Amino acid sequence: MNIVLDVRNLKVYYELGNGVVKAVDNVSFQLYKGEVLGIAGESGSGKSTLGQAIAGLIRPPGRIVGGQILFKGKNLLELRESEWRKIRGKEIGVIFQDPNSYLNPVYTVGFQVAEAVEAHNGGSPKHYIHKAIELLKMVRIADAPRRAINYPFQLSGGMKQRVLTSIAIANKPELIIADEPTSALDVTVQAEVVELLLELKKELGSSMIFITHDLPLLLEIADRIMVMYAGKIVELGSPHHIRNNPLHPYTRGLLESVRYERKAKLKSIPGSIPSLISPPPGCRFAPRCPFANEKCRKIEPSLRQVDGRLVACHLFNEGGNDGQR
Amino acid sequence: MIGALLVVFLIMRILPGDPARLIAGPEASWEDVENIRKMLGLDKPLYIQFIEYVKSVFKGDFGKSIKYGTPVIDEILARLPYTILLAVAAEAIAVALALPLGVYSALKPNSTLSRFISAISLFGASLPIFWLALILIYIFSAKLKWLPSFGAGSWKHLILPSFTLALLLMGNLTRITRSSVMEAASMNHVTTAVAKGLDNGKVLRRHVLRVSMIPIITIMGLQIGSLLGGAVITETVFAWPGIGSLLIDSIFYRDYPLAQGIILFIVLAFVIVNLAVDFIYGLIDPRVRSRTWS
Amino acid sequence: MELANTRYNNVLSQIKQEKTKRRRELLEALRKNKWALASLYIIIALCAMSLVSFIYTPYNPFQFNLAIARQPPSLSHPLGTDELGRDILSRIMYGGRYTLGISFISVTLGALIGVALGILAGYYGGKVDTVIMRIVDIMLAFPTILLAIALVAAVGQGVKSLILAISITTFPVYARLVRGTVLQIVNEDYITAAKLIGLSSYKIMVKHVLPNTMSVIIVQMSYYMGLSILLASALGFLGLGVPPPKPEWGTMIGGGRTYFFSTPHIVVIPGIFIFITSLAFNLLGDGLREALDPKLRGLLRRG
Repeated sequence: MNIVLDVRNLKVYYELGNGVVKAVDNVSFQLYKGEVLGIAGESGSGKSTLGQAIAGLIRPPGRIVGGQILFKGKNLLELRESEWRKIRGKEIGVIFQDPNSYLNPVYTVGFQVAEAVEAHNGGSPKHYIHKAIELLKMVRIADAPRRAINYPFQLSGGMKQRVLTSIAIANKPELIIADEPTSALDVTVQAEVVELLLELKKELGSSMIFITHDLPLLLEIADRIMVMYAGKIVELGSPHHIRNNPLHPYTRGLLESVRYERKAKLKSIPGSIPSLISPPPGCRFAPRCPFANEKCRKIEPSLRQVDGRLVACHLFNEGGNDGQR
Repeated sequence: MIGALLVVFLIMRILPGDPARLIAGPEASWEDVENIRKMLGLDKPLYIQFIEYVKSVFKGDFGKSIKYGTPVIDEILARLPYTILLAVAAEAIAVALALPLGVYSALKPNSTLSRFISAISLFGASLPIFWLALILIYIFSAKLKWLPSFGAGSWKHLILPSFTLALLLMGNLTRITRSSVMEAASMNHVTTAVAKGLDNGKVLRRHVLRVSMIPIITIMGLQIGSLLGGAVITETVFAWPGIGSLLIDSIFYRDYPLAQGIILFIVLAFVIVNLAVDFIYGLIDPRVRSRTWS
Repeated sequence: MELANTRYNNVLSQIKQEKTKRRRELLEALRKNKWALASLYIIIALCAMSLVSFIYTPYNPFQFNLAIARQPPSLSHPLGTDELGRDILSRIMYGGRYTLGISFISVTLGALIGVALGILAGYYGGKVDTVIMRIVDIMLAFPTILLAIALVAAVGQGVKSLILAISITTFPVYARLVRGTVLQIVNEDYITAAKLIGLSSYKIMVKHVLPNTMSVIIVQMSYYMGLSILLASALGFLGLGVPPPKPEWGTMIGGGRTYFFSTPHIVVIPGIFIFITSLAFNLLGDGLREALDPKLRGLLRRG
């Protein structure tokens, strides 16, 4: 099967005291085997929630209110918790964002990695300490046997991130979800971690969803990039298209705000994400969009094929209206 | 530690009234009082007195009780086991009840039982212990005649006092357990554990409970103070022959050496217990371990 | 210099706006919390009762009449009579002065000392900080009741020693709390700007640092009121507090203890009052804390 993951009309809402936050609102896309799908967006775009939903980590007050997540043909949302546990950590592995808080401070690193193996093989973590050391070596941690008996506070940020990675790949998952794996690291370490992730993916033959706010990074490493805004997909295409010809105004804004040519001025996108409790009707980006017109404010644009990729913007419907480029 | 000694000493020396005269009695002549004063070393300047006192304390000599005429330390040691028994029993009951209740109300925060538990904890912090003790005596001793109301004759005598004291501790302990477990459960490493595919029991035990123990142990350590204070009152109400009731008695009889000795002893014991708690800390939280012994 | 001045004034007006907004939110939140509101009413009622006792009590609280001793509540004596025939209702009203008065004074005193020390420690830092905090640590290590007992044993019984004892046992917590908040604020820009302009340290501390710590202090004071009521009555019960025949509620319980089995009301009634008062202050403290800042949950102590 070429399609590993097929997400259809997924809706994930958070039910809070003062309203319902529509974190992921009617998102659909597919993930092909062996590819790296990058999901880009700012905080609050829904990208992390999307990743959590796929891994079955949504907990109250969050709730999946609609849609399907087809993983290798089976709808994950119909699974019982006991069946979920067979998939989590084995067929779907998650690498989390903050290596400091995502590791348990009172257990050794080796124990926690071994735990990942124990979860699907029975027994106790003590039986898997060798496997844990192997895994630590796989993520290129030097002096693995000694590190295995260290506690998290004795490791650097980069090393802890590698440990999290080794936990995610412990059982050779088919799908690796990397949720902002580089955001908490120094720039120098980021490159190493990303390189490691890509190599592992190739070694294991997995597919990867790489979630980050760092769009230029995705331009380098992803096979396809999905840009999200306020719970919706606004553009989805190859790096080539997105780098050279970004269509959606938000994508363009994102790129312009990180231009790293020395002469160009940094432009930030004015305004901020709308409240996700009662988002404005029409296109969610309209309040900040320099090209918005009346139609944008009234009718929500749907994703359409334009120029080799998907875009959700009225500017690109019916082939016309794209004079302001 | 020295600071604590100093504080106690200063407090005792602030006493208005003249210890020497008290010992001698109102009919003694001026010379006699002076003699006693010399004997007790009260005529030397304060700081020399303090140094001598510290020296004698280290030798184990807490002075002699005025009332009983026997060394203070003997009196204390005679009644100490009772207090320890009471304290241990009370702490055991409190922990046995408060921890499970706390964990339960953290995991199922909206059940009626949880809300009931929270209400009881709040009540516990507002109830006067001595009053509660009296009421319990009334119910269980006078009306129901199940348990004896004072003294320390049999194991039955232990039940009411230790239970009362336990109730004092439970209110706070339940509350802290609850909030500590809730906080641990929302920590990120729990998400990691779930993402590994671990089953709920293991996640709970290893990643929630173990981590939540840290603040709970802290509070248990801090509660030793309340335990001692509460023991004083409980012993008095139940006529339990421990050092708490001895302290109150000695104050009433103006037996200063005894009172001072008891307070000093309690403070010392307190300091030692605190050190022990720090040590236990190190066993549970590895981060502390390296800091302490490095 | 100019820059510092304008910055300072800008921040000042910002702060003022925030403060008024916060005050409004606080009152709103308080009003919503039924328990806190009820507690407030109860406290006011009890204070009123104690104040009324200055002008009027149904009977003379000190006049004893052995003929009518130990009578259960009746029409003529709504709360009954105690072991010496004194009317309990009158004694409760009068005794409220002690219980509430001692607690108010000691808590305020403790707060004053503690806050002052905390601000000094946090603001000046360095040696001052270490010395003050070392003292605070030693005192925090002591169990409160024991410290109070020791102090009373040394200084003697009575209202004054109770106030002293309770103030001394409670000031450390304020010092620690306030110091924490001060340390947070001290590094903020407007303090540096104020220093640059040349405001005296004293002014800075009072006008800027203090108001920010207020919310924490008030909540802690409410909790400590509850605690000090329990403490004062405990000492009264033990015979180390307000001495008989003064009708402090704890002392009343101590006095009625001998006849407890036969006529429990002498003991039960003052205890109920103690309990309700303490509970009210605790609930009020909870309400205030929720209204002011949910973040503070971990720091405060109920005692």
